[in-house]
Amino acid sequence: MTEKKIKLLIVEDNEQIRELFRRTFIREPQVEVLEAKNGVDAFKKFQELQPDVVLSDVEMPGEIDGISLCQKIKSSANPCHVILISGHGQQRNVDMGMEAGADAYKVKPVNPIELIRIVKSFGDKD
Amino acid sequence: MKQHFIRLFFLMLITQCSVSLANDSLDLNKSLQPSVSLTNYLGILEDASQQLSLADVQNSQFKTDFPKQESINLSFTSSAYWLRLIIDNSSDQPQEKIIELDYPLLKYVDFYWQINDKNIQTIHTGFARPFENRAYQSKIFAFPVQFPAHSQSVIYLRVASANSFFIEAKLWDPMAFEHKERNDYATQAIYFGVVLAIILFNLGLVLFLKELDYFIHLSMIIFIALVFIAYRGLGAEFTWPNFPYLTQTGVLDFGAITLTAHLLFINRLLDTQRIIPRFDLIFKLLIAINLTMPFLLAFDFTWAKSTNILHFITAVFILTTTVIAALQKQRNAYFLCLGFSILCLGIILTELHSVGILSLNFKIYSLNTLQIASAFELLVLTLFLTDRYRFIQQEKLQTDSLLKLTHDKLQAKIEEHKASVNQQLTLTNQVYQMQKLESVTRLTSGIAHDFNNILVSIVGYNGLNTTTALAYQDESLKEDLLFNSQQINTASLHAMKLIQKMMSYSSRHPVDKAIEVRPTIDVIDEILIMLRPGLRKTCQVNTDLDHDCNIQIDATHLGQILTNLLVNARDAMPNQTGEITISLKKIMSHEGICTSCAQDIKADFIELSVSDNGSGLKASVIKHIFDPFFTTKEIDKGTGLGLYTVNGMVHDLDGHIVVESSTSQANKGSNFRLLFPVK
Repeated sequence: MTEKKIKLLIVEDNEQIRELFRRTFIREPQVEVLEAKNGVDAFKKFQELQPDVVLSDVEMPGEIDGISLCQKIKSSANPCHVILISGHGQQRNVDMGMEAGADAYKVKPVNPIELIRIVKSFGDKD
Repeated sequence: MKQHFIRLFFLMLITQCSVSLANDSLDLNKSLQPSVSLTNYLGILEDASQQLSLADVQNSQFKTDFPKQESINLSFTSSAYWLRLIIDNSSDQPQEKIIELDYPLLKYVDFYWQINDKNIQTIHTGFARPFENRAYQSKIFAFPVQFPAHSQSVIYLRVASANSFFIEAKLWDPMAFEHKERNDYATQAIYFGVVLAIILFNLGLVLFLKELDYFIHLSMIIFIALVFIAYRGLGAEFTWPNFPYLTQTGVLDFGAITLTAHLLFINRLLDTQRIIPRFDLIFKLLIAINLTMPFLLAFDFTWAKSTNILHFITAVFILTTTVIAALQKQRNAYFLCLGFSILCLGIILTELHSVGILSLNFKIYSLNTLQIASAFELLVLTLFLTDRYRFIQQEKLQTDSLLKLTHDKLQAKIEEHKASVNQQLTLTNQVYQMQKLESVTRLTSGIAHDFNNILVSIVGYNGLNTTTALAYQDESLKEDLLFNSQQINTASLHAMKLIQKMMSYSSRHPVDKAIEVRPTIDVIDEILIMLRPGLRKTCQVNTDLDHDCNIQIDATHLGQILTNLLVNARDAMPNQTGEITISLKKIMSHEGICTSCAQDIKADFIELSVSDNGSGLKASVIKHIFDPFFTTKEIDKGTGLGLYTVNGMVHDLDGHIVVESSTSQANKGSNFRLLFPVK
């Protein structure tokens, strides 16, 4: 039985960090990494490629930031799991993310092992 | 002829016109009164050439019919007059009597006393001659005479004067004469005493007020007094015995000056230029002529008659002006009218008498009454000036109080303005502070965010390296790599914590709702337990907590606030040894100024305070303690964000902070009072 790959869309404006996330999952064969560099691009890719999990930075330039992206995904016809990552770890920020419908809210720096575990757990549930 | 007619007319009009023939001689035995008027017993002979001798006169024809009156008015004349008096003493006793000529302004008086054509006594006197010549030492001319029993005396008096003069001769009983003289001098003493008092009083006013009006009034008084000194013969007796010229011209000279002063006085006080502008020219003219007269008189005394007429005109003019002003309801005019009326009337009658228009006896008016009128005038005018002064003072007081009122109002306005400017300044300062904080906050936020991202990369890639290193077979290399990665990770995490802190302060959003409010007491207890290892070793922590007080604040924030304040308190102690007191209580109607935002605060608050007996803070330090990145601690011990965060959290809840601190030995230490509104 071919194990279904988990499609992970990484949304991050900082190229270096996006690369870091990509490399975090590089040794995970069951995770297929997709990338987007801003909110608009991400939502477009979400609609086109139907990822299982979206891992998005909260603070991003442009029309759509992480919170808005999460809201849009969650209110779309075919929503998926959303993990929000932010530099701001205050309760207020966490609350905002959770209210937007995020499945997890992680404060940078994120432990890569934990991130892999969360992504995998969402993939398993699927 | 015309003059004669006028003289007759006044005579008919004013006197009773009862004419009787003068007797030839006076019998002393028949007259028992203390004084007898001699007018009717006088024979009079005009010596137009002033050349007749006593011998010539003894053979001449004397005119003896005089109207029944007390004096013979000769007015101005260039003639000498001879008077003859025949007195019989038919009694068995010799009799002592005094013959008096009661008019001081007689320039030359020659007295000849003969019994049975034999000359007994001759006296040459008059104001032009030395005072010692006078038989009786008086301001008037008196001649003591002793009439032997059964004798007939013939007395000749030769009188000549440049002045207007009249002959008023009386025969006196010596005792009665003495009595009369005493009374007369006493009256003069009283008059001049009053005048002196008035002069001194007015002199005081002049010196005190330094106003021209009062100076003019003072000169009026002084020159009126001089007129009377001359007129009553006191000048010749006391004041200027060696200057007969002053006795001759004094009345006219001083009179001209005092009338000038009167003119100036009413001109100024009645404001005649405004109320009777037509009179202005007359005023100037009269003043000019009056001031010219003394010089003309010095040059030629025949101007005397014109001077008398001028004085008459001036007096009439003064009276008319004051009456007109009074009719125009001038407040000042009532006083002046009252003061001037009698005096001017007196002057008018005297001048008419002097120039011979009135020939009847005006002695009563011209001398005593005039003097009394003058005293009355001086008193009224002095009263008037005093009243005027009082009036002016009152006005001044009113003006002063009005001025003071205006001044106070202005002062109040200035204070109000100052307060508003200060308020404006405070507001501007507050806005400036807020803007400063905002820009610093933005800057911090931006830097912190970027920095965090960099650290995220460092930590992340280091993590990847760790994973990679774990795969190495060479144990020694693996160990090295893992150790290095570990060091990078530790340092980065430390940096990250710092950044996290900065980010949490700078991206601080208004804490509009409390996320997790817990009993304040509990939070304080927890924090104290948590900080115990750091505090209790050397610091003694006291608590004074009201269990009913609860601050509506997120427990985490409260913990953060308390931690900051307690750590600061501990660090403020030398060797970290001392006492810290935490207090929680409710304070009603607190009034004061917030140390941070400088707002005036007045409300009920829940106060959480942390005080210490540490080194205290200087005022210059207190000014900056709430600024971000301001710290007095060593570089790696403080971020300068502690109090900045505390301040932000408190103000987000509409609270305030009052810092009390002292560096003096007596009560060293600081007290941070956080005031939270009662909700």
